[in-house]
Amino acid sequence: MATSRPSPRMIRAAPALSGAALLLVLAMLLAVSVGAFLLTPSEVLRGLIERGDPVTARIVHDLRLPRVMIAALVGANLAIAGALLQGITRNPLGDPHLLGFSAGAGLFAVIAIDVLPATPTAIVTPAAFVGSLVSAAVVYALAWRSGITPVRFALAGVAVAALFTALSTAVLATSDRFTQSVLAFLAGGLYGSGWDEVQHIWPYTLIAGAGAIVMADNLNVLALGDDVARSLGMRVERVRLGLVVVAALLTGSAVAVAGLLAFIGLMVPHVARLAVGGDYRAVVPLSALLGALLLVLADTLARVVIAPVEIPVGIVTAVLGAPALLLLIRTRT
Amino acid sequence: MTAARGTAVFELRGASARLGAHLAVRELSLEVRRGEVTAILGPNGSGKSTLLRLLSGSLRPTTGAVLFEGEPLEALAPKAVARRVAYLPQSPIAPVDLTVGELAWRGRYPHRRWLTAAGEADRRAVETAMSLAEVDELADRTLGTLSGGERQRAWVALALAQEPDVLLLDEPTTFLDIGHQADLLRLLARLNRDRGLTVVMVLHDLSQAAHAADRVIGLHDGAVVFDGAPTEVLTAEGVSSLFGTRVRVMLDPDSGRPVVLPALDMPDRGEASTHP
Repeated sequence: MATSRPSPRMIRAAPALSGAALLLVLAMLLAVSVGAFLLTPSEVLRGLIERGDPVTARIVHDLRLPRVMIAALVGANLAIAGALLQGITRNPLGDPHLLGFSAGAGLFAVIAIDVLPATPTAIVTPAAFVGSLVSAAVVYALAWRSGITPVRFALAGVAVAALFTALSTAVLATSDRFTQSVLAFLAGGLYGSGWDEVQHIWPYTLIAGAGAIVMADNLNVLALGDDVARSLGMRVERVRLGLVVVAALLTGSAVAVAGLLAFIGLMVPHVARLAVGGDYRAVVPLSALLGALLLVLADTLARVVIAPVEIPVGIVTAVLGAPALLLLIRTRT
Repeated sequence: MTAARGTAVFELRGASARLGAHLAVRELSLEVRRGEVTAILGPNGSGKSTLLRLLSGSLRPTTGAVLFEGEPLEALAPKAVARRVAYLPQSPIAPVDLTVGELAWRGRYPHRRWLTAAGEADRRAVETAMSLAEVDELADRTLGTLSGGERQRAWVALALAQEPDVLLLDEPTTFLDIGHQADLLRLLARLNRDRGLTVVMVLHDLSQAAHAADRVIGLHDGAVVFDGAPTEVLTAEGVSSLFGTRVRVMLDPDSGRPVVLPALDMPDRGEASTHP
């Protein structure tokens, strides 16, 4: 009988997970091949192991590979953060962008550039990271009243997002120091990403991502409401705080290297849910893979669509994301 | 079950609970005894659900204490309590795309250890729970496709999958038709008789409470108005004063238990034949 299977969704999720992993590898190879020079698969492979033509190897190894890896890591981080926030808030609109986690990053980055114009990139990244954690803390504190309820958390997030975005605009409007790089940060982009940025983000993806996957089953229980979760023996507040911290780490590191990228955190978990159903033990890892896949493809598009000029990848994700989200709403309900 | 029937499972010691500014339960002191079926009655807003939430540990008393087997509830490991006590709130929420089988599996959460896979005992508990709640045929259906009654039974399966020896139910029969109401109450009676399951439930239907419970507790404004065997306390006077409305109480000739009817005093509508 069907009831005897321990977790039917996990078995059903296996093809989706392996399929997404395969697509991700192919997309990354494609992304490394495509650019100002079109490389053949064998050139790419030889470049990856730093053999063959030194110029090709340099393009592959020093320019394209780190950028593709950044895209994958940022996409995975944002998508996992979105899945966690949707679970915590029990709200399909849970998203690091809409709940103010990114807005704090944006504000701190803008302030850093305004106050310390001389050293943009070195300062912007940690400032954005801190800003993201600060906004998560502010949202959490505002929603706290002898406990967090999902609705209060979501509303506090929307309020903080609006406030921090307004403050960023105020700083921008009154400053005369702004350059292309600020605009690029606010629009979200991976321009000029190298191995340094990879170093900034991969530990967070690894640790917070693993934490998210380990904690995913808690989201399944949390989805049954606080009272039921408590009666099943979950320490609800502690688990929720842990999940918020993980989401903030993932968002902060992603925003720090890629700026404000909308829609990935919002959209990808919904696509994952369409594929594997509601079990977060499947949704979280699949969201990671699909988020990575989406951003790798979007960034490739951003590089080539009006080459040699690049457009910020945030514009690509928004242009693709908005109609995809509308389509999802229409087909799901 | 180690301790004997009749010993205290839960004890409230002057427990009060505040919901916002409203004092929902006022300095309540009572015991819930092992192996008994207790029904909590009272008008809307009398603190019935709050009392149940206090027992379940989902709400902490503002003052006073709630003891489980002599220990303060909040001092015990939540999962250890959850392996003994299952609680079903009045209108629990769940994602509509969750299947009945998955919902029942959530009941194993307190039994699972960190990072270990489900075992044979888990599988058997879920299977038993689903067949007791009569949802085994619905295992792969999603909650969004179920009727209110089927969904209620799916939640009962979750509670039973915890393998509790105390079951706390908040209006478990509300969304069920009369046949499924009877099925559920019979199931509880059977689990109570065969396994010594202790049941505390909020019921709206007084006659149902009179038949299903060993003991009924009447709450008004967060305080106990009556507490005793149904035949003793469910009198016309007792019920009328609790609900502030006139009722008629008669005895069921088969069971000898009280049957409570509202005294509707309907205006005389004449003969049915006056309608064309």
